[in-house]
Amino acid sequence: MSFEDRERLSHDLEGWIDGDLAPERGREIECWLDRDPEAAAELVRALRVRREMAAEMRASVLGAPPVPESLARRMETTMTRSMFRKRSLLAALATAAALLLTVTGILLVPRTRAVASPMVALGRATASYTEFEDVELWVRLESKAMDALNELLGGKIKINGEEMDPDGPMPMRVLIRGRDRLLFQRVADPGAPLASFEKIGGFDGETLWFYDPEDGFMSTYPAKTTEEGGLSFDTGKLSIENLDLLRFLSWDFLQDLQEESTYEIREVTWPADDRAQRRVFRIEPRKEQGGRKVFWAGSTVTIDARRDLIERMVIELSLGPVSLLSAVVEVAATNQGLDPALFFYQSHVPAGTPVKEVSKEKEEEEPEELLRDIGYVK
Amino acid sequence: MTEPRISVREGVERALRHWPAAYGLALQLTGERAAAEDLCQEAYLRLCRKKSPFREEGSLRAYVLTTVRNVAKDMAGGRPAALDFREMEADLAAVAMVSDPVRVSTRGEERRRVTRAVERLPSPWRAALYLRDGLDLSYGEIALILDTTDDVVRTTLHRARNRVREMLQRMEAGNEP
Repeated sequence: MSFEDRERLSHDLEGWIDGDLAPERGREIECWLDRDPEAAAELVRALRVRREMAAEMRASVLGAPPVPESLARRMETTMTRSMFRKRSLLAALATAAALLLTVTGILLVPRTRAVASPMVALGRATASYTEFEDVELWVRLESKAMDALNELLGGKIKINGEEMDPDGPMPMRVLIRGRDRLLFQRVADPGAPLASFEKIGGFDGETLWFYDPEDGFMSTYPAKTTEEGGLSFDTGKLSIENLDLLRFLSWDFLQDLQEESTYEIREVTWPADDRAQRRVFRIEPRKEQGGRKVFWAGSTVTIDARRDLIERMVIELSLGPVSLLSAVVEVAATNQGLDPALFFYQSHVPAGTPVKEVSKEKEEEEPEELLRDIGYVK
Repeated sequence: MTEPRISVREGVERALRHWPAAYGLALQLTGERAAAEDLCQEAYLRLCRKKSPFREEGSLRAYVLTTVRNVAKDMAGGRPAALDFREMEADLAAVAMVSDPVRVSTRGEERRRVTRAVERLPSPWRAALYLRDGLDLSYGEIALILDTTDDVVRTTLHRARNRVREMLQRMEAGNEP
């Protein structure tokens, strides 16, 4: 037997032990083992080395440190945040409030000036949101496709028997303070104060409340305490668990994006943006990986580099190349020192208004009703 | 028949039972204890962010290990070469020595040599060996976790074992430390 043959047989020995060799080559090994005493010694040695390697590998398992205590806390926090994310997009659109929570969930404010990498620039922002005492947001829904179609048909589109509002839906003003104070109202004029003759809603720390002047009464939805110690609502329109709004704003959606390889972040800053010290990022499904389905969602994030603040975010829901619906979110102000009393219904609802406590869960509303609720039809 | 599902919370709690196995894989992929622990922690946090329920217990360990592998890839900046089996030969010369003196000193001479030889293998080879010899997984399961094919796993294991054997021979002959 030549030196080369012996080397080849020696090399095939591992495959033979695993039973992976072709029968012909396996027989060659067996003949070699029968004939050559050194082959038998090599087999014994190979098996011994295998045993040692297996022991070495198992030592990795046996030598594992215990689960760190800090990990358990971080896991609990992460799971609590993730509960917010379980809602589908349509469910999030169920009410303007739900929409608010959805869109603000991906609203980011960077702590430091933007750096070269979009992922880094946006990623650093996630940690800083909880530093704010309060935030004021403006949210506006737009549907260019539906508006164009309505105009083409001379304003004849009706949804659930009602004509579309030719001016489109009014923007929504949203105030958030601390962990669990929320106030929202549709307003025509961004400069106008909150008014009791428009629908208004909020959460005062204990009760979620809605007031529609046309109904003549106010609805309240008491919160329940969850097993995790947080607050939970389910009004049928809006379902929230473990409410923590400012923490919700710091939602680390970028990590989700990193995990979702079908999405990409790219910078689309134009020279005019650059001159105005803005950076603009586009987040959308990767085309080349088939991430873009028939229905897909994308967003455009604008950072004001001077103030280290994300000033605008546009989230779009598209059907193929056509944008069906977009939600524009702008950060109007932060740390205004909002008075906690502002979030109690008594500050907005006329005295003596009947209060109707709603405890029974409502059914999900039909899409047409949702469009009316979010102000898309009159 | 639909496979029974378990909630994310319950799944994560059960997944903690596989922490030692996950740490072992992380150690093979990183070659360093602190980095392995960081990698494992990140993998478990990623499990917590899972949106859909887990499949039943049987596939949970494989899911945890796959997550460890994915996080390792992301931590390497998403560079495919970090776990690219095609680059194994080229990487071999560049593999750093990561001997742990505490572990090495408590073993016999042959075990010490095996330890040194295994540590000199590229991380994908070590990971494959670990999953096969340390956790007794099948080629199919290993392929799934390492995102490759059965054939590549088989070839990798053969190459890794032969490489260890060659290194041991050179060590015994005094041609390699």
